[in-house]
Amino acid sequence: MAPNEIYIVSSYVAGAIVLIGLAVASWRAKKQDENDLRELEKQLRELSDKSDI
Amino acid sequence: MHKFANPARFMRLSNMFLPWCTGFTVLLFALGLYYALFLAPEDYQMGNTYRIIFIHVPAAYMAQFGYGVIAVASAVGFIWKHPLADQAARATAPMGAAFTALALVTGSLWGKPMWGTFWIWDARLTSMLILFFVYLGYIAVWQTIEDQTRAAKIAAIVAVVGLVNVIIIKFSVDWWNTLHQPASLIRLDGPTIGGDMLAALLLMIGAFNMFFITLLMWRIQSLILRKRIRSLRMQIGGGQD
Repeated sequence: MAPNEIYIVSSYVAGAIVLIGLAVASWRAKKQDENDLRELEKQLRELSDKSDI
Repeated sequence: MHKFANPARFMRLSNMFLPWCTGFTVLLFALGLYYALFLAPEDYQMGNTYRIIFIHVPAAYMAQFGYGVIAVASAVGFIWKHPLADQAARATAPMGAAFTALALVTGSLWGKPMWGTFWIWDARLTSMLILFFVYLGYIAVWQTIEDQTRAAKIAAIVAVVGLVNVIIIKFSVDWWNTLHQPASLIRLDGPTIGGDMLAALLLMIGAFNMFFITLLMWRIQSLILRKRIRSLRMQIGGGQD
């Protein structure tokens, strides 16, 4: 490896870590929120069914 | 503009555009990296080390662009009370902070072989570091103030005041003697780089931009869902009382 190649490789690795990290964190947060919302809507439906009875 | 600020309409439209934006982001990154690593020629002075600019410049550009988005969205939210504007500003902040950190790290990695040091208290570097702290402060306002309406107002003030630093970043290389080179892309007399180097740089900036737009849509969707979750929790809590 040429002496300066370590800096080039490190830059691209840092870029990959930041971009992949951001994408994964955003995607997981969205999926988690969708699941939470589905769960709450289900709870709300069950509650309204109970109150109907 | 108001009709696009409707959260339900935003969810529908963003779901329609997201697959296209994601695909376009991947395509631009593939093309950009191919140009950056294989087609762009070696620099006659810096050798291959200059290839760091294909990560550093787009990251630094997005750091400032992201802050511009926050300032405009915050001002719109503050003045016209758009329901989505504050959410857009809030969703942008973590991305802006990450891009600023990336610009600082890649800048240091470029500085070592070029200037002989990872860091120097140069006007451009210092103002970028301040931008990073402004981003952290902005995020902290949203995290620490529970009343979302009050948080949005204070965050908007922080965002607009912090805009001064973005102007300082842009002109720091002209106003002071700095080690950092002057602008080579956005200049009145046109870019000072050309050919495949310029193509690679523009492709990478395009890729970072599309990545930002795609993630911004995901993150705004997430914040809209969280708002709905909060109101459902209150409904369920109220029903149980």
